[in-house]
Amino acid sequence: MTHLSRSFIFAAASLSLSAQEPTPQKLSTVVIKGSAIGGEVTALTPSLQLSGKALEALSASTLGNVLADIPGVASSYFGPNSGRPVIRGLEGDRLKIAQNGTSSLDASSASPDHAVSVDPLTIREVQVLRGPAALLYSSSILGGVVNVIDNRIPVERLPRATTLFGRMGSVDGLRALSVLTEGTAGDFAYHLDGFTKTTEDLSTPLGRIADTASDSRGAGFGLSRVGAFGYVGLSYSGLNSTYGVTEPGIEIGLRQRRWDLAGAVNAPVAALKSVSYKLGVSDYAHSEFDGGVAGSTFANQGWDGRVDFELTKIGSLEGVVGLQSGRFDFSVVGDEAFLPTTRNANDALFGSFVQSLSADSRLRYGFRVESAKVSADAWTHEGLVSNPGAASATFTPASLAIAWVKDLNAQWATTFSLTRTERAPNFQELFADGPHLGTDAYEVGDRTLGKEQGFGLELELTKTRGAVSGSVSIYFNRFSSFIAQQANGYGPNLTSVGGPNYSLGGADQLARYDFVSVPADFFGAETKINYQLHDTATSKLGLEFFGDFVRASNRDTSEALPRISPGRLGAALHGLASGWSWRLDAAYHLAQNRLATDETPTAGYTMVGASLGHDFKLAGTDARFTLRLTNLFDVEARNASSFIKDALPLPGRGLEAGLKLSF
Amino acid sequence: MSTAASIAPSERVCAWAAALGGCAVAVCLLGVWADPVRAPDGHDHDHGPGAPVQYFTPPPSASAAAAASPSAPSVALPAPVVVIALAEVAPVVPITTAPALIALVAPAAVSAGRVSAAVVSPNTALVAERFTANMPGDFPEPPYPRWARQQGLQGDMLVLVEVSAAGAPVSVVVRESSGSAPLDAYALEWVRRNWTWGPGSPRRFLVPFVFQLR
Repeated sequence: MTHLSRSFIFAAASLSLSAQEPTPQKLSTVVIKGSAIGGEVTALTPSLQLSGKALEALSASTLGNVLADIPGVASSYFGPNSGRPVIRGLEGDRLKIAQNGTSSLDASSASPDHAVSVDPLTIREVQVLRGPAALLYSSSILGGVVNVIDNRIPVERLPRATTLFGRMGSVDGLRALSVLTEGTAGDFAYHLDGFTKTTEDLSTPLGRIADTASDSRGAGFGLSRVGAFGYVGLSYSGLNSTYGVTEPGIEIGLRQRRWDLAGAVNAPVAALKSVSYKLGVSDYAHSEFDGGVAGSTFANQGWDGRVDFELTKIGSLEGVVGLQSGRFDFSVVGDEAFLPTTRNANDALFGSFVQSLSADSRLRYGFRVESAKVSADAWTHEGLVSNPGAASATFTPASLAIAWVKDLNAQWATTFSLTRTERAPNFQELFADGPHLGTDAYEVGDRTLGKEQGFGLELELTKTRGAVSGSVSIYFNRFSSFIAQQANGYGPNLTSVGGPNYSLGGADQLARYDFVSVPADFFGAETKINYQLHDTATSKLGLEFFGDFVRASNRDTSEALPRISPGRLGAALHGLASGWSWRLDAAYHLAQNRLATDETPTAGYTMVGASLGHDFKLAGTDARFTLRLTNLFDVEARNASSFIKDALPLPGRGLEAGLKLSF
Repeated sequence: MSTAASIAPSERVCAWAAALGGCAVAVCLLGVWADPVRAPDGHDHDHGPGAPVQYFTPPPSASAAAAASPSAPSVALPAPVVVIALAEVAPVVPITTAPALIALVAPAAVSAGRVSAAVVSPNTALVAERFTANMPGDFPEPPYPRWARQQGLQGDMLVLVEVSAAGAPVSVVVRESSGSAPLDAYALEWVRRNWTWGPGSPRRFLVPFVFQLR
């Protein structure tokens, strides 16, 4: 709970005495403040948090879809089962997805058809961090960092709670059931969760799309010893998922098992408010089955650990410093072996601080220095290079961020941020050489690539109080070197060494894409404004406007970067009356006509949706019923961020119902 | 839909800039109109630990309204603290120093009738103006529980603590609920497990807790 603001006042009070017995003294108020929506509270405070009902009201299909309604976020949408968030046009390894603060250790950044190994049904909270706070997790922060929290390791005593949550959807034949039990026994707090989810082929305005069904099961168990000292806990979790990726007969079977250890010690010495540590050890593998036969297998085995030292406030300065270290071995075996086996090491030193400059202004700043090493084994492989030898590359990315927050008055604040980021190229950008079915390309890495470097400016205006609240931000991110995939003719003809012919006119003709470093510019804006028309405890009515816009170009060629969702503009009316909460929203998504080479345009479209929620008692237990209507007008729409936008439109009209029972 | 697809990209950028600019202006205007800008002296937002805090105002009662000035003075930690004291019932009599308060209450359990008779008459409430002494004991601040934050649980509550002569909480009960049973239980559990008073005679305290998400 280190990132919570808390204020505790202890002082005297009143007493009122009666003739019969002494009336107690009244102490001054204990104010416990939590940050639900952000604000510049501590060095750890995320700029955005989603949890509870807000999270349950969202789509359960992929992490990308969960976040896609947030201004500035799009989903990479590789079918209904695989989608990573794309923030401000940045994706893949540029946008770190952390799981409880440590790496998710899956294969999702390597290819858009690989699912993130966190099912939305197990997520209890999603944080999006930006600026100095994001440096706690990554050195590439221009898009931000997404931290997914599953509560599997209890950090405190938990009230006993059991919930059952069932969901059904029409558009993808969703049938999902999840169960969660938490509680405390003596000094031990426990957590147990599990889910099962099946979907059928996705229904779109063009009909059902074959090979998009899925079947997933997952469970997690955690136990912690909690007390005044802090906590220490262990969890074990597993995920099995089989899903289609829209390609005929191709299915991915994914399996992850993960151990996590976490703990925190409160105030071990005077200079530290707390020390917390986390370690995740993961064994991940997925196989791509072609007609039931395993084609290629991607494996990621590794660990990631961190220690965070939260400093006691010194004068007007408070902050967190820490260390993070991780290792993982990534291998691809089979037809799709476009990568050698690599060992990836990453060690980082980071700090993030908040300093009050005056009563109404403060400075947030942070740094992160990493040492990254990618070592590739010798590879028996025919490609552009025959049987490449072992090689390794070492990088030391250093990132800095500073943000000046000024309160204009009690309701308004403005933030000006400057960020410099560096990112080490990953194993794929360095060593790829082969056909990659997910992107339908012959991918070629460059062993001489240097660090990706960028510089960002952002100005944000927020209003946190009053009937009108919201924020407007504009940003400009300039990369002096941005690692992009550039079209470069067709793949090689390997028939002379007994391989396929990927060249133009060959039997396995495949476009070739090289990883190259290009200068790139991103600029854009985001806004979300809520006008609360009516606000009492039992009856609410609000009008919300939101919009975002991003434009990305290669500065050398002035050509657009590929797969950028250009922006949208929307409005929503939401309210609460007689115990029913409801929301009606419409968003117009812009057409994308600024295209990279060989990219197809996407037309603009309007999506209209509605949702309804109701809390009630069912046979003495608390129940919540939710209903969600998506794509009301069954519009044929294509997601500009998607690799397969030509083949796959967004889901058609659908109805999703959910029932949650809490015992 | 098709109209946007047909306009030139550069025009669209301009349109977007205009729209976003318009939104910014609109929010400024609406904001000023809906909530006139106030000078920052109010400090009604949080700057993190150590910053001025808002006081809990108990549910209105006849005397509370009379006793409490509507805006409580702001206090910085860890400096000595100014106190607004509120009585539960009827008229108000100011009392000057807190040590006196403690002295008064301490023997109260032993001879309640005498003390009350000596100090106040029934239906009389007292207000302490200033309390500079640090009350002996250990009162660690509770963190906002993660589960409560994630579920958006908030609320104001009043906890009644009975303290033994040795200073341990003997009974901790809810006087006024926050509206959330788990949150109530959390506050009780926290006081029971983590708070100790200095030795003295048996005493009782009312502790207001405010769980506030922002």
